[in-house]
Amino acid sequence: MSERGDTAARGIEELTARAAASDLPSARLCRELAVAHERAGDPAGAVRWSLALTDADADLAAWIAAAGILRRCLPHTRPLPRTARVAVLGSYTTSQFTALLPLAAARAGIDVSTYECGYGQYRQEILDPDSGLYRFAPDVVVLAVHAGDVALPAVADDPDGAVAAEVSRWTALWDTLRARCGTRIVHHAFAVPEEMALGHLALRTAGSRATLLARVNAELGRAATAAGPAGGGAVCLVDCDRLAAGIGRRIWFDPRYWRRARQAVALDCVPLLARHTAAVIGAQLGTSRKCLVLDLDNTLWGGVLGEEGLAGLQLGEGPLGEAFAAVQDYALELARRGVVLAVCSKNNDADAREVFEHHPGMRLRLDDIAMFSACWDDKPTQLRRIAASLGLGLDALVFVDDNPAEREAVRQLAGDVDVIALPADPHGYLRALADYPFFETAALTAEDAVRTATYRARADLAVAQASATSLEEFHRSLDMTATLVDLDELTLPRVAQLVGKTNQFNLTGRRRGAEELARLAAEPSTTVICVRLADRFADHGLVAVLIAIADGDALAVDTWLMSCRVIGRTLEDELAGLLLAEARRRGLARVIGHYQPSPKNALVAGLYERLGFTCVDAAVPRDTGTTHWSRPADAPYASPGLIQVVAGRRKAADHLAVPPQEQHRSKEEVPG
Amino acid sequence: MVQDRLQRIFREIFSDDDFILIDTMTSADVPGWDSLAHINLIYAVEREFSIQIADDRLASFATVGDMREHIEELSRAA
Repeated sequence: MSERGDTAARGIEELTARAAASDLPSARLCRELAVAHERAGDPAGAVRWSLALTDADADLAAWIAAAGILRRCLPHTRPLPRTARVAVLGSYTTSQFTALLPLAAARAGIDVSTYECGYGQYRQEILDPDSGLYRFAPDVVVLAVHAGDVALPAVADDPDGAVAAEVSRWTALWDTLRARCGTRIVHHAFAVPEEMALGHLALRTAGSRATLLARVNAELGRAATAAGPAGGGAVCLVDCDRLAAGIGRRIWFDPRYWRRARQAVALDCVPLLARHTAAVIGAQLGTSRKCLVLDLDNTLWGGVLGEEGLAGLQLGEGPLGEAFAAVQDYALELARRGVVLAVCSKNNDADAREVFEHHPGMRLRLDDIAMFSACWDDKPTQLRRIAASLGLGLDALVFVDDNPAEREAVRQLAGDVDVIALPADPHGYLRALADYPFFETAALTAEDAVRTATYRARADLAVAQASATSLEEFHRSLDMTATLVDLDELTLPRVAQLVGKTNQFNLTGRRRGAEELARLAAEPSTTVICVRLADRFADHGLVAVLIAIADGDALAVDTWLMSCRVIGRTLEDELAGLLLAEARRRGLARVIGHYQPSPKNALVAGLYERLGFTCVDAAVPRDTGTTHWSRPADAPYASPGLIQVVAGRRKAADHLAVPPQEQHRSKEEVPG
Repeated sequence: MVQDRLQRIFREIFSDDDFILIDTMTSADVPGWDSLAHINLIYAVEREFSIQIADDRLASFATVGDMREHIEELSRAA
């Protein structure tokens, strides 16, 4: 190694030791480490520390330095999960913002290339179809606009009209942008200036500028939600007023630099604005984190369970106990908006669960935790297991732990997991959690509120599968119940959805619309069997559709499909039994069916053969590969019997001698 | 001391850690020292040394040495 390389290596060692000794290394220290790694020819290390810098204090000069290091080193490292072309259209000097955005975006997992419009040229660039903006072809447009560019009087005579006019001025720009280049939009909602000639009277003056600005922000929020398909996040806002209030409005706006260089956001606040803009872009592009993994001892409660015992824990009572309760309440709020919760602790499993079940100060319950991991394995190992059980990548996880050594172990051995550093004082835990911006979502759906339950079912299933010694034992342990339901106005939309979308387990590939399905089902010669499947972990909803038509002495299978999420659970074997029983009920001699190959349904090529059907083709036609099958209706058939089959409604019970059972209710899954 | 801290600021703003600050340097000697970089430099200097450079002095420094002397002057006064 060269002398310089040797010095660099020693420098890295010393700096790393200093970083490890502090809870959250300063921006300056992160920059020194990034520089040292770049010098030592380690671009990955340089990028890692440049990104770590964005979690530290927002120091403009250090951010500018790190943005330069990132620009040089990122091309020589593992590609980021996403790339995006981002245009910044500003109403003030946005050069610093544009220069820092790639650094902030890389922290959110996005490799960004930028375009910046000329100073204050945002409107012209949007309106001119031949502008540089459209030549750049952005994936995302950031409207970096500020309150000074809002045309509102100090006091409006017609407040409603003033707000409507101002909102439509902006939404018209959104519409033009989206019509011309289909871009996503991130709009910087307006920070309300602090100076108020009206004083406290402003709050009860409908036409005051401050009141109007707040209303414009709210109306922009409504308009953004209505723009584009539901849940798509085509237009998102960054709540600059919240950022400004959080840091202090007197810091957010610096009049000296506004007049010196038209900086509408104080330069020390630009890193914060870039960070939150990047988080919102991440939400639009799908790089947001999905799962919060919580340590237990001294993170969710005060004290060490193994030493103090359940009764000795600080939780709920007293200043410290309240601090831990506040952390739990916040985790619950995150869960309600769709963040999946998991536990990762070094503890005895039963002892840790007992706290959740019996400690009166606990806010979180076991039901709130999708994956509960308490054992003595090291945390990187536990985190890998948690990710695998939930079907998530490590890059979907965020780990929070009071212990700096555990955090460092995770950074080094499970580097894709994001780590939130907690301060030494538990009163600061909530702030540290709330300041973490990368759980941002572009829209809320009904599913968000129950996501942890969905993931818990998935995790429980993975655990059950791992502990069962045979597949049959596993299936038996699931306590599966198939409920037969009719095709009626309630089930038709879901059946039509399955018929329209199911690819893998689909024997004939016939795509019929809802009306056609209803007509077909009404024919006396037609039998439709719809099946809901539930097990002890989850109700999977309506997952299978069988349509058969009496034809001569045979019952011919017209359509047979199943949602991919219940494949491999012997449901198809039970359905074959039902089909044969239905043929006998109709006095028919046999069941016939065919397999129509498609690019995706090879899974069921051998289904009829496995179910004891005989191939009746003299030769399989080479061009289509279609095979035809037949089975006598009265030949003995034994289904595996791992699923209890019950009738859900009267009509089905008529011809299938099984007892009725109450309907399960659940959201339907999108078929696979 | 002021020299070291000022040099670090230049290294950060120009993202160049081999940058050596010399008193006789002018903006013409430093690639990238445009009006934007100048604002960033002034801002970082004001923060680093907890001083305020007056508006009429912003464009008055002929050399890096002039800037350093002004910083020392303001720091002494503070």
